[in-house]
Amino acid sequence: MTTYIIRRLIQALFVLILVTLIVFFVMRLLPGDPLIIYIAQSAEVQAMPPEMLDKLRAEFGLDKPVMVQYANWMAGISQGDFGTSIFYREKVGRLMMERFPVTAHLGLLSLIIGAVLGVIAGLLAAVRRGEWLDKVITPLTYIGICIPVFFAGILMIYVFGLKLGWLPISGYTSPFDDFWLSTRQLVMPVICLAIFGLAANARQMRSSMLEVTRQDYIRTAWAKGLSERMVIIKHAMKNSLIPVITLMGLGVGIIFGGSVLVELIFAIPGVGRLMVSSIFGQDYVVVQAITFVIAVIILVVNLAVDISYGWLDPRIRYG
Amino acid sequence: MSKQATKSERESVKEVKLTMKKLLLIALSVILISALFIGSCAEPEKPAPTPAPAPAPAPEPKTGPEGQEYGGTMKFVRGQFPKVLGYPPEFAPGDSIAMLPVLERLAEWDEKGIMIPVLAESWETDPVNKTVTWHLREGVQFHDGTDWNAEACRWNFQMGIDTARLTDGQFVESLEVIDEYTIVMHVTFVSWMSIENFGLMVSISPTAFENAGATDEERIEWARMNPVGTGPFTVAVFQRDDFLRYEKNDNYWQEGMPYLDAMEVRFIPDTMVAAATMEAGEADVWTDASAIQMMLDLEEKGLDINWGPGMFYLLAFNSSDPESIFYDQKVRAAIEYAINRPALAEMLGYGQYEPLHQMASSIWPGYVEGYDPRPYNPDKARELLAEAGYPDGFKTTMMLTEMGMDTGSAIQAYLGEVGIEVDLDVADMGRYFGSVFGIGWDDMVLTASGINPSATDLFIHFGPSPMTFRTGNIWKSDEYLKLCEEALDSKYADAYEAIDKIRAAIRQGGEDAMIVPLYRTSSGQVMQTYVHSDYQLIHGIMWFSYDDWMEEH
Amino acid sequence: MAEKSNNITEFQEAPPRVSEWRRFRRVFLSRGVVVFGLIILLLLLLTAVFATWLAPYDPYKLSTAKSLVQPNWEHPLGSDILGRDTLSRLIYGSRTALMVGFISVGIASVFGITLGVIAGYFGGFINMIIMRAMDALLCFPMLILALVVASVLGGGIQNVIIALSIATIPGYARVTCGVTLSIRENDYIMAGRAMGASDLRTMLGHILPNAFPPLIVLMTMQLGNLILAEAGLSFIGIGIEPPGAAWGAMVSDGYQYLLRNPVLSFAPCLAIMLVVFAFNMVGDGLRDALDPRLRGLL
Repeated sequence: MTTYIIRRLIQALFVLILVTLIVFFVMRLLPGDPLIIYIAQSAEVQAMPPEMLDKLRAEFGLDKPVMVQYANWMAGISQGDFGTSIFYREKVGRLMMERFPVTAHLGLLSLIIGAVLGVIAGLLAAVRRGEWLDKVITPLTYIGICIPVFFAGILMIYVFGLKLGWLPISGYTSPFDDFWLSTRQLVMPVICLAIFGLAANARQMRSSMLEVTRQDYIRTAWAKGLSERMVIIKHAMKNSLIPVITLMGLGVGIIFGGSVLVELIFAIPGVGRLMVSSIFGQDYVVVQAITFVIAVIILVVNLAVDISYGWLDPRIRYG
Repeated sequence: MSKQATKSERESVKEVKLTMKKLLLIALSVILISALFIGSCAEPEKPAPTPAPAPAPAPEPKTGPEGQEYGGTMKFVRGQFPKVLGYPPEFAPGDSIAMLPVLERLAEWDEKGIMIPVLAESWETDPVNKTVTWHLREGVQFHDGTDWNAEACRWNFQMGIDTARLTDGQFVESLEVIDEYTIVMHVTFVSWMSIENFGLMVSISPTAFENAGATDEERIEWARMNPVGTGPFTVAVFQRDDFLRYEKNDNYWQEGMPYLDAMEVRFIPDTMVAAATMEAGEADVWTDASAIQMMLDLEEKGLDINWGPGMFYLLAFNSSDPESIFYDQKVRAAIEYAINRPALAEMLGYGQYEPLHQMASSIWPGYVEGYDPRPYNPDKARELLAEAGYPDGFKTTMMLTEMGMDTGSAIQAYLGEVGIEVDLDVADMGRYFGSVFGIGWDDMVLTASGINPSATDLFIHFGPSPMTFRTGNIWKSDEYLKLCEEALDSKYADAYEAIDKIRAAIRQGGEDAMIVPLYRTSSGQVMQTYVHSDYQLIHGIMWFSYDDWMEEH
Repeated sequence: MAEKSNNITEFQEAPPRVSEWRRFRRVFLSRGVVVFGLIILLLLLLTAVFATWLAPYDPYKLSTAKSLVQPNWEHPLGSDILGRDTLSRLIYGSRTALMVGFISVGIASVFGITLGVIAGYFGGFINMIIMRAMDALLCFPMLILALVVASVLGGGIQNVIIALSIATIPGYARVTCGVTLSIRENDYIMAGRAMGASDLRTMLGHILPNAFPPLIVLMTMQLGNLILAEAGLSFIGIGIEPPGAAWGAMVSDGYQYLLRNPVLSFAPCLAIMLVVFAFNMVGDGLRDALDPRLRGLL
């Protein structure tokens, strides 16, 4: 087991290095010169002479060879220094500290809700297969996997925010400041983000439940005269969860992707919106740092899932 | 069969155990990761350090304009948010407009582009001795309690010159403090533009800045988030890209002002969401809005709008390169004939956009009444193309951004009618700015520039040494350049005295078909009916927040 | 997770060919939704092919007089701000959707399969490098990777396709690599190698049929995801250039007029949903019919 873990850790370290290479060099291919945009946006009524450009370039270390820049970047990251945003004129680490908690709040809620409700919905649909509950849940899951996130957002704003006036239309408040308002504001964005995972989990749960209940051991359980609840919970459900768990691992990535759209629509100051504004502003220092951190989070989640699988299932360890 | 069954059953038991362990593990890893976040959450989220809290406003009810009660907190939504608050050398346009309630200028434009006094009471220029003299307002204090005086003004000018961010700062030879409230600038070049360029400088408190740290770096870092000015409001809370709260400056130099106790701004980038927020009554004002259709919808639903000019849209050519197809005036003229600008403006702006037919908008002082050199005439366009040697048209490209997509498609269709096949080259902001400000563009660029109320606009965008379009791609005739220069002669005290020259330059630009002016957009401020504000009437670059007020609602 | 996919695609003996097709057809067409999805896809394909005949108007022709017309008999779905007929643009948009989908899937699968075969065939260090690189790519969520790539390359249909292709390569590489690895260890390949047979050719002959079921299912499902991702990119503002009619771009254009002309954004949104739904259902059906053991993994 220890060897397996060590092997996976070494692999992960290697992947991490590849991730840094991808992040760094892809960003360097950006066509525009971030400094020119910065200058263009600052040049109000005032002019800025070309010497300024050189000064700024030196200030941001852009005058050095690319490999040196990469080494500097890596050295910085290892000390927790992600550089300085050209646009915000602020340490990127601090920008991310402001934004990641917001996205994490939103994302974790969505992940949990998507998982719990998804599993329950799938379970109910499978147990009541063909009955009205199944006939309601299954088509809803079809909609859930194919509705574009932004469309769900717009629809909800229109219906619940504007027409019914039940929920605040947009914004984010820290739960530590005002828990009730924070929760009300999060209802729509969280549903939006959770909808895909919820539907995918429910579909997966339903189909693997149906699969499992066809197995002999379940029939045996029935034959032994166990109650329906026992059969479902003790035997069928637990086995059906395995593929669902795999899906949830993927869910982290989907949530990060979706948060870009959701934060844009609901005016939530999270990392997704910082990402978009930095991409449009060509603030590559920020884009680089965010992409890197997201990739590392996903890497760690996958590593944790992999190691747990290896621990639980010896076949994989030697696979 | 039975053997299989038992085997699978055994497996299932094992798998149940496995599943539970896996579940536990996954739950653990999720918790671990969330703990990481929450760990950072728990750290008090640093809202940008706020300046010393203003003394609690005395809650005495006062009577405002027209005998109405006033005070209260006005809630804004806007689609742009400041990044730097209190260090003017790093200001972008969005920063300075957002900070105008906090940091004031020496002088401001009024609606007609005439300078009106703010922190300066009066000024004069001396073309003979080449000086600009500012007589400062007395009895004004910064938010930190220090005095506004000639020394503070000199310090701010000096910072602008040192950081190369004071327009025309290169002409300043020395700054001389005459007395407590008089400062003289010795310059190498003086014109009516000097007052506008120097006078629009915002001032921060030198004392607050100097005391903010041991090194310049520390001071600047502090100043970015801590604007200390003389304005009617101070910044109480700033959450980057999210929320900004201004609070009343009780010590404001204009007696009885400001009327409001506080202003709160929320950043909503999505226009549909902003409009919905207004419609739902969650905000009082949507400011700097330019989504015309949604604004008109809101107007129909009973909200008020202050309309103001938006941007000046134009088609610029790579015309200075003799190899370029657009070097030929006839080609440029043909393109101007081929585009139906009134129809375009009507379609895109629902009657709120002004079609342009010269390098000036009708609300701009330099407008030449009745001058429309090339109204829509596709036949004439084809004729000119044939004369220029392109009877079958040609293929070309046009650079634009996401913002100009509708316009781009329309121009593409219009030019297609006369045989010019246009490939749209949609650039991100980076490449676009890089081209317009830096390396230039290949064929055509669909671009826009801001509109100032004053005639300085011409010089800022197209003049001899412009701020925008400074790439040299645009060919300018000698006659045009000469007229521009003559308009800046120091014998003219202000733009209105030079207006004949400016108009002549506009006409010359039109004769040259230097650019193709397309339309002027509108932007505005949408307000609930109880809001009283003149913001945006004054061109969206001025914001007199002190006299905004709200009726009881 | 990488290891897991190896297990499920373990080499299996192929059942006799003749009954396979019949079984496939029976399972594939047994579910109503799958048939429904198939019909939608057929209609989509026909629409794309016959767009020129089907569209009542020129989708690029603007008409200043008809800006933002409400739905009526002349324009069943109204018109956009430039007076272009929404229905016609919707019909032409099917071409863009299919083009983005198929070309991205094509590029991604060619690269992915090649990388997978190389990794599986050579094994060892090369396998390690390639598969870890794929792992690294998988650490970036598809939308974010596409966003960054598209922002580096700029907008435009070809760049969107490239961005989406890069983001989806790892899936194909993993599946193919798994199949290749398991086949490599098979006795008859070993035997063939001992007899000096050109083993790459032999292997390809075995790899492709075995990799086919998971690959085809993956491709079908990816088509739906790609169309969704394209819509997301367009919504953010990185997408297809005008005058091209693309559903995602139509949604984001029409979205500005949501309160007055909801059909402008609702119609393309529904089209996207229908097509994504259809690809998912057909993918499901294919999976069940070709290899039910893939359930839960693809």
